[in-house]
Amino acid sequence: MKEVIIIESIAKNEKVVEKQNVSEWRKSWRRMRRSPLSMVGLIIVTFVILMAIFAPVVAPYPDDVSGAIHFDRMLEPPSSEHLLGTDEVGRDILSRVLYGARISLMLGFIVLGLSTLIGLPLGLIAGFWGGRINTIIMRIADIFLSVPSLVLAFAVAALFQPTLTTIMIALSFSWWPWVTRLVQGEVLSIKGEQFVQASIGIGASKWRIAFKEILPNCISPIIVKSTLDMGFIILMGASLGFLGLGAEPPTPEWGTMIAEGRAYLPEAWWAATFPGLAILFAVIGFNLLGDGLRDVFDVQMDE
Amino acid sequence: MSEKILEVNGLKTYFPIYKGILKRKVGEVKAVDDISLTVKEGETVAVVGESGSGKTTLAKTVMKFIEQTDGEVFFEGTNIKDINGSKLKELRKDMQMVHQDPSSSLNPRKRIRQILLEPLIIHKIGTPKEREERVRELINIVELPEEFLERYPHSLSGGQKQRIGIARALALEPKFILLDEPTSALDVSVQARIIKLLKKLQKEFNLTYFFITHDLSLVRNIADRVLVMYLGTVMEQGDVETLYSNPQHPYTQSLFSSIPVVEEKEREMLPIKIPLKGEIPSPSNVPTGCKFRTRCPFAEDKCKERPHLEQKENGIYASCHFTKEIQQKTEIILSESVKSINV
Amino acid sequence: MAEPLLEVKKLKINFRTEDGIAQVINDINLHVNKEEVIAIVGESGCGKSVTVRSMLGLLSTLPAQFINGDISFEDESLVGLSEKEWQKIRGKKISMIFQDPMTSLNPVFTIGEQLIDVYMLQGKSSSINLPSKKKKELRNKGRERAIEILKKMRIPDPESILDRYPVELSGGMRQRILIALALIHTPQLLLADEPGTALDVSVQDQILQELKRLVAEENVSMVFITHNLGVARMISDRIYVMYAGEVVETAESEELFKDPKHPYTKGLLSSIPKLNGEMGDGIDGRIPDFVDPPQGCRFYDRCPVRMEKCASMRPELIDVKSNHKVACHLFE
Repeated sequence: MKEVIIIESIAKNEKVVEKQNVSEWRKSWRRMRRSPLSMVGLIIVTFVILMAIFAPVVAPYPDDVSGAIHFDRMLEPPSSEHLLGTDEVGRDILSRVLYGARISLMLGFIVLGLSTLIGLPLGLIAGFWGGRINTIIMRIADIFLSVPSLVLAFAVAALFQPTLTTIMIALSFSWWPWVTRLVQGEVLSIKGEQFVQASIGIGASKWRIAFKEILPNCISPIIVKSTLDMGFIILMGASLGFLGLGAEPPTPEWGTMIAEGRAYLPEAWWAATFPGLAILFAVIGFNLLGDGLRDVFDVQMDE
Repeated sequence: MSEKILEVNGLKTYFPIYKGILKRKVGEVKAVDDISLTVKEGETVAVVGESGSGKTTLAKTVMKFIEQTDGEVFFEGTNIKDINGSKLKELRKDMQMVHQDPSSSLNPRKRIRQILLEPLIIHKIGTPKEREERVRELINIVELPEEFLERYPHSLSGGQKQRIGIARALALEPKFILLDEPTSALDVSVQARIIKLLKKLQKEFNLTYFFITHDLSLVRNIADRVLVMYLGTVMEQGDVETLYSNPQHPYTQSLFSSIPVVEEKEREMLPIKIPLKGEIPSPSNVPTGCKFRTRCPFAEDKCKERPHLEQKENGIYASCHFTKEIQQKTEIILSESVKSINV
Repeated sequence: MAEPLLEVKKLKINFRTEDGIAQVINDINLHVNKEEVIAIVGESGCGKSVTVRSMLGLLSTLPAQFINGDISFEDESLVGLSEKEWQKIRGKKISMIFQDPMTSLNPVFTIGEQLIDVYMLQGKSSSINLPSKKKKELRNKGRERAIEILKKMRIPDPESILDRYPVELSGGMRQRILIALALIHTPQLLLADEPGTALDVSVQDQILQELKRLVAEENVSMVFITHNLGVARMISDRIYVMYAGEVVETAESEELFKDPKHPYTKGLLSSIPKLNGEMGDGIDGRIPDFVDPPQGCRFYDRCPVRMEKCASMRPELIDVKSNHKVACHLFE
């Protein structure tokens, strides 16, 4: 009998929870929707991600992504057959731009993922344990930060084969200190909150406090920062590609495509312009979305 | 005679001040400077002081959140300096704390249920089902509806949050609870509710309270004994009723005389206004001798010697060389002011 | 004496929030007579700060929405004034002391620079266009006035204080400087938003004593808002008790403490811990939702003596004695 009552009350509670959670999400969504720019960002990012996922389905000439050569249709202007025209070996630019989204996004996600994987625990340890450990970790981070990412990528490319993999590793190496810094700062400020002390008072271990009390409170700033960084990393990946240090031709990387099309700019403007616009589009999308997310999370913290 | 639950002997907590690139130690803040006290089972002892008096540092040292510099703290006969690891965890079960700011003392990312379950999980108490029952019991004890378990802290009012803070402190069935200004962030009408709850819980679970506050009127309503702190030392201590009817130390008297009271009865209780000189000195540069002498209107040469807590006529302990003389002086001032009114 | 300097009539202010429109100030009437000190007392969320800010035209932008009512100062309406017109009033005729002595002073200027700058903003035209000689004269006058006002506040060695930066001063001293800043033009009305609450009791007491004396000496009227009934009693001639955006009771200070009528005022008074160890049990519940406020009395949910009609009918402020008004159906 008692159990029935408990189950009933649990069920009732769940409903309350659901209602509350829904309204919480709805509130965030309303806040997001109220800012037209962040909605534009959200739409762009969703669009880019969808294109990347469905590139094989959407692209009119999937074969042109590889090293196919069509001497019969070199540098053709945009037409109904090739919406964005063709490049110097006759490949369909639209198809290559669509596949390019896959590469750029993959690069971004992997670099951010690796950086967070390295940077987050280090920042947590530095901020939470403090003292000498903090000094050592933060000075190492400073050393990495003092070398510009592009220079580091050059160095890595010079030492090893300049492939997409090496570039991703090089970028991750120069990116983790930013994550560490962000997390360390957040941890320091959260550490001062009374709930952390309350947790010590209950008898919680240091690890438990670090991961169960502090870490969840760092997640939203990390999400915001990662979204904002995404645009920047896409841009860097493209820059390296443009300089011939990233993906090797014939990979349809946006930067590489601009580099190839640049030589024909006077007579075939489309070859370099469309990959360029794709970069612009993606970067703006992530930046707008990042700004929007920041506003949404900030207000939540205020409540 | 009930048992001592907490005993503090000559406790000192100093914070070093470092300066320059080499981080040389240039001085220290004596936040807690030679304090002794005892708290007996079932009673409420209050520590009153203004900001910078070291009352919070005292609390944190007693709870072993901060290392002491010197002296001893015994909790139920064990010196807390010596214990660590699993023994410390065991000790924490018996001594709990309610924090000052209810909006910062609950993790905003956790539901109330998770917050209340946390101590039970850490100490591996009960099966999941038993824990669930205990959490329900706790929320009933602090007089909140059970559906609050599913909420997040931000949807609760300040008073409700503080009730959760109290429930969390009770989860492990402690004997001793340190209350660090538990109501200073709340409105008075809510404060009164929380104080009522705390009194009820004390009776029900035979709790011992160590109450930190800056509010003298509140102390009168909750504590059995009180210590008045100023710049890290105790100026006066004793039984609440006696101390409030006749404070001995000029610092305590000046504190009393500044309280904005609401009732005629209270006005009559206030000592005459003692104008203090200047402001509270920086804790890193405390006067020698009597710490209060730079602001005391009755200070004399002898006050350059440090006074010790001495029992005065009415049983109150005060750290002042001149309590008798001050009593006479204030009486003279009082009779003169009465005369001037009559004239 | 009974001449009103500032009058607030039927003031209603809404706030736009995420959850809808919050009716934060609901039909408030109050007035300040010349050379009178009134206190607005209430707990957090009662709308006292919003009321006072509206008297200084600080609520003309969203999310605040002015719905209706009138605020008149010396028989002239302040509603709908342009920002330019407000600038002629703020600081000169009506000025305000803010709550937080730590952040209300600019840390990069000395106390003297801040006081003199405020002094130089006097008159109809701004002093920027003055010839440099006149400017210098004005500056010297400002310095004199600053020293005068600091002396009146019994601040020792005012000349040296003028050369100090805010960080070098204690909280109590900064609060005194803020009072001096508000009084430098000798305004007719001073609005005080809980000055001294962040400070320790002994310092707070000193500052309030000085403020009270100074206001009387300079013939300034004052609206003092606080959550502390004891402070209100000490400083004011007359008190308005606010609850959830409404005035529930108003009376002369001594009268209010001798014979409180409204259940909320009574509850509030009994909640205060007393020095003789008497303390009530407080008031159960929390303030109502402003987005969807109760139809009748806003105190209904928490009232220990509520009646049936309180749920549906809003009580009006009515006279129970001369100079003692209560908004409660019990007294009709």
